[in-house]
Amino acid sequence: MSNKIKIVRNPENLKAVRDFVSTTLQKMAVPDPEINMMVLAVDEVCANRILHTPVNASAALNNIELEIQNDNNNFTFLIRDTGDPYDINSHESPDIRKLIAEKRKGGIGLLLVKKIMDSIEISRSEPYTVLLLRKSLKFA
Amino acid sequence: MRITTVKENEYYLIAIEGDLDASSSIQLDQAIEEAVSKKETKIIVDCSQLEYISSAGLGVFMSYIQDFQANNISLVLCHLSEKVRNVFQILGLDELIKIVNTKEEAKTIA
Repeated sequence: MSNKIKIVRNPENLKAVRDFVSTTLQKMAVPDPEINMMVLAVDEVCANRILHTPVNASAALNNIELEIQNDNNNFTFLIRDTGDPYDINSHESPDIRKLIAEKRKGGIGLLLVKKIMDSIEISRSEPYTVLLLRKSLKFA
Repeated sequence: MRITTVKENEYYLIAIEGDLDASSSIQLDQAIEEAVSKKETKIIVDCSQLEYISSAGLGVFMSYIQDFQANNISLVLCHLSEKVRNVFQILGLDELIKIVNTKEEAKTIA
């Protein structure tokens, strides 16, 4: 079973990413509530990578690759693209009430990711930026 | 995603169908903006056909809280699936946005 997908960096393709994560985790017998949370986290990261990365002049470099690995219910989501690295961990978690007062529509996506995932690693291997989202689950 | 709006007496109903994500949240924003431009003060969002919401969708609702409180505009969400409701709960937004089970309940508090 292939646990990899490659999409063109376009918000219209986020649905395909969600469907892929959902289907893959279902095949791994992950319970639905956990699937829903991990789908959300991966969607948020991919949306962030799509919306905040300039379109590359080379069509071949405008993709996002996602790979899901499962080692005894320790899940790793590898997300790779050619956008600039942005250290999610150094991103200051916003105060929700402050965002509401400022009438902001954005700013909570990465907060959701941090709440859902156990860890987020980011590295650069030219020409790629690689994000590793990890989540350990305990289920029968 | 598809959005339909209908006026029922003094209530302005917005029904969302499908996935509310980074590619579609603008449509919800426009629907709420339209309600505001029509001077609607009792807005009910029917989420019975809403299958998925991401931070982009949450952000749209979040951005109106301040103005709606200041201008006595009521925004109530109803018929959320457990899956969608869980997303509101992660950041505690379910305590800052009115969420009820049914449209009838929504009408009583709108």
